[in-house]
Amino acid sequence: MAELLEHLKPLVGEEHIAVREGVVVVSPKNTSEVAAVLGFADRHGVKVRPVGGRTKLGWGAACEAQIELSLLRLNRVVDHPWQDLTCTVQAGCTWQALEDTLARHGQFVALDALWPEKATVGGVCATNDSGALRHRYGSLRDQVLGMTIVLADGTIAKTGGRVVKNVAGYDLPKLMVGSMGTLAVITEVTFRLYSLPLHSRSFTVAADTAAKLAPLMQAIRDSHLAVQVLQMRGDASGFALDVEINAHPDAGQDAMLAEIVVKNGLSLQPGFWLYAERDKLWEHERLILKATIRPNDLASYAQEIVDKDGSFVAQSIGIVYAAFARDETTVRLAEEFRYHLDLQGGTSTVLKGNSEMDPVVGMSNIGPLMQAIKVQFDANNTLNPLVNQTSSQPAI
Amino acid sequence: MLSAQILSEFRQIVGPRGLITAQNQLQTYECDGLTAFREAPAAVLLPETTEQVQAILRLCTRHKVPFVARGAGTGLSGGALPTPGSVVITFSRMTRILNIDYANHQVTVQPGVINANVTAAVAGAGFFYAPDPSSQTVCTLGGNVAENAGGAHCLKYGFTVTHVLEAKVVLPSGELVTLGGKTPDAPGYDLLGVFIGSEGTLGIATEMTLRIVRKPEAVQVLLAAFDSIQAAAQTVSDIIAAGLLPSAMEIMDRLSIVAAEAAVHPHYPMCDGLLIVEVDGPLAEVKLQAAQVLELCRKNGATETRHAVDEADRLLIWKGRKAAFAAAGRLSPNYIVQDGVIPRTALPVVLDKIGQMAKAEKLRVTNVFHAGDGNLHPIVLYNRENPGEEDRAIDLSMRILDLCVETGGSITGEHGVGREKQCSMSYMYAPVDLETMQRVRRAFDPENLANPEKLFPTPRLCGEQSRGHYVPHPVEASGIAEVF
Ligand SMILES: Cc1cc2nc3c(=O)[nH]c(=O)nc-3n(C[C@H](O)[C@H](O)[C@H](O)COP(=O)(O)OP(=O)(O)OC[C@H]3O[C@@H](n4cnc5c(N)ncnc54)[C@H](O)[C@@H]3O)c2cc1C
Ligand SMILES: Cc1cc2nc3c(=O)[nH]c(=O)nc-3n(C[C@H](O)[C@H](O)[C@H](O)COP(=O)(O)OP(=O)(O)OC[C@H]3O[C@@H](n4cnc5c(N)ncnc54)[C@H](O)[C@@H]3O)c2cc1C
Repeated sequence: MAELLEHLKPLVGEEHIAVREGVVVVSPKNTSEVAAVLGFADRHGVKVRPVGGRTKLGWGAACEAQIELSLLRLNRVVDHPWQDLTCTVQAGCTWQALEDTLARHGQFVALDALWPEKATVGGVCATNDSGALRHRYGSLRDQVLGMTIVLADGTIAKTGGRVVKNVAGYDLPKLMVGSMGTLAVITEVTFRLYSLPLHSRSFTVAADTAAKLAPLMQAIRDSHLAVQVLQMRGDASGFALDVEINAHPDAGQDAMLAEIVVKNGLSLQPGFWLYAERDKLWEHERLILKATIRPNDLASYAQEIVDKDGSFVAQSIGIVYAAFARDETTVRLAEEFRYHLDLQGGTSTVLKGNSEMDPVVGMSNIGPLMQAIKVQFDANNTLNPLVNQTSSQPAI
Repeated sequence: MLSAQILSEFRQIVGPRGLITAQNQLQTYECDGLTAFREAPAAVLLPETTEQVQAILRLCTRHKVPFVARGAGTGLSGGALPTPGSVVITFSRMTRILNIDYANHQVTVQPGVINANVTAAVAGAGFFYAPDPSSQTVCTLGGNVAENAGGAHCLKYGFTVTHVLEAKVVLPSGELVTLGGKTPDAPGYDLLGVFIGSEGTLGIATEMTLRIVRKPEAVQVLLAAFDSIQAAAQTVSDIIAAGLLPSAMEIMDRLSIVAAEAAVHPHYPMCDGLLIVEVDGPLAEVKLQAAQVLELCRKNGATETRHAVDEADRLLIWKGRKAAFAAAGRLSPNYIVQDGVIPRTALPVVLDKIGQMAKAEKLRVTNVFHAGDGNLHPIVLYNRENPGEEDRAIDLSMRILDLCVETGGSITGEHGVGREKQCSMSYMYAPVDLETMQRVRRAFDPENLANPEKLFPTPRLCGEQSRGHYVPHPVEASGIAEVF
């Protein structure tokens, strides 16, 4: 350890190194310092975990590293050419700080990540987080135009670009988003931006079973409404469908929505701030799964979760966040749920709560290819190595 | 040359009708839309199933035979150009739409399906397939996926990559993998995202599941005439800054208006900067947005504005725009179409610079482009008969690309790198950036057999760089589709 500290001091300066619970926390100030630390670690077999806000380090699989590479000093919004609707930001910038900057020009990255005050741009990208805005704007992978990354061996590479249209070469930012810090450290990201919605209005429709909401959800998906969010949620107390419309009030869309709702034998209530619903799942110590299914199978699985004493928040495109209590019975029920899902071509990932469970169920046959990519990017398995595992299996 | 033994093994896989070796027939596959480069393949294979593709690639890998996938051959960057000694694998016998799932807004297709056929298949139910390259009546989805093709409506709807959910891909080893999934956020690395746009260098897609989109309730097209391209470009920026998201925004300069007018008579106002804006969505919203767009056009000094009066008029306006490239032939005996991207706000400066560069070379450049995306298609006009003019035209077109890179843009927005722009890749990316891309390449294709000598600069090819004059693709020449 002492030797490691001696080596790191000249790279980032003594005051930017700390020791926490036996792990050396290193805080470089820029991309080249990140490269220097990584290159050193890679040459000496030292394992590294990049961290941002440390809000969710255990996600996917636990990693064991001697160096924690904190990106928090790389926290600037580098450039916001607002008329081009793009923005370049350093990885350690919190999502909230980014949003605040962009909002000055009435813009945003069309993504609602969890815990924006703490989560960083790099962490959000590494975990491929996204929420209710998925319905209208697509995933984080659709929002990233370019990145600066540092590979395990210290190579600094620029990928993608700063323009919305670019087909020159491989789209490596796509590969980085969701790679859980196992391929490279992200130090800078360029996003495409959208104007903040001007005319959002939320509505809610309640029902006692998911089946009653299913045809309504399909009807709204098939309608001409300018829907921004379409979210189903439920727990022991019942089910609800949240709809957010974003169209000029004069366009008369509220009435159109009301008509569809009534046609389906249900009633429309004015809504509320629906983006916080997903966060609430994390409020108690529970087992949390992210499940993905085809949109028209969503209602039946939603019902199954609640029947098994769980609660959930789901996006109509087919992403479900489900929470179960942690006692033995419910964990068994959750396993059953995952089994049914797998049979229907769905997938599920444990986000939190149970290390005994398979972290991922339903992944297709790409394991060896992922492994080959990992070896190419991080031959010595320096970045985010799995606990108790010497192989180079990616930690996702 | 392939040995008789290998050819017989190929024949066993695809049957005698699935193998072409006759010299005269091989000529058809010598080049794609970039006709300046030609190379006959050693053989052409026409598989009918994924299993056959797997068997072919296993054989290629065993005997180290390079292979090049080919869709309709409409690529404009030489992506489907055969590599010396290679086999071409083409998909004219894999053209089925396998499944339409309206409830989930998904369609599953084979790679040889023609882009426009997807919309044709689902239009009755009120859906469409959004990516709409101008070649859409002929180009295939396999080629679209490989090139991450775009079109006029990408501004709002996104490129091919936003519309492909899953692809079954045969790796060079012959192994079949499923990238992405029919449900969102497939766990693991986003290998689908990397595969799309990889120009056939990572493997062969044999089945794709695509997203289909509900047809908008209403569509409106507006024309606005300006005294300068700069004013038109400023209007585009203002529309974006006002928070509006039209489905398309295109600009044409005077020369291209003249050419389009002569070709298809779209009744454009004659001016130095013509802006075409299309908005779509719910009816009432479209009306409001169209009014806002008009207001912004007037604010920027539009000398004339008008709506499409009906669907026929709307289609005519688009026809004029789409005819602009082919119509360049009316302006000059020869021309080169470029495909570069710049940040939208740099439009006025870059167009000005292009004008100056053209003037210095005593050449004419006409501009017609996807203004909303900053995707330029400058057309360099020249006459081959004048000694040295072709070389100067090629040189100018390449320097325009360099200019795009210098403003923070890209050397290609939709046509791909292929053989044409391999050497410009080094201008856009540093050697380490390219080497990082190669890491992905090696994971998928360790033997370097999938469409080698494309996309990445190679010392051999970049050393002897020279590009021929523009020859219209047969599809273009016959009036089936226009370069857009
Ligand atoms: C599926 C999912 C489940 C989540 N579950 C929880 C939860 O249970 N509790 C909770 O509090 N939050 C949770 N989150 C939210 C998550 O913490 C935030 O969205 C955010 O991604 C974390 O940012 P961070 O800066 O805190 O990253 P960290 O928690 O510091 O890091 C997260 C991961 O990203 C990697 N990483 C971080 N920065 C970089 C970088 N610059 N380059 C490369 N890799 C990097 C880390 O090595 C680690 O693997 C979840 C998010 C997702 C997508
Ligand atoms: C008149 C005209 C107009 C055009 N307009 C546009 C436009 O508006 N927007 C645009 O983006 N492009 C446009 N293009 C370019 C071209 O049409 C597109 O690049 C198209 O996607 C190519 O499709 P294709 O089937 O012809 O592919 P090909 O030219 O046959 O092949 C293109 C590339 O795809 C690879 N490939 C083909 N099939 C597969 C497969 N199954 N798996 C893996 N790789 C494969 C090939 O190896 C090659 O690298 C235009 C071309 C012409 C001639």
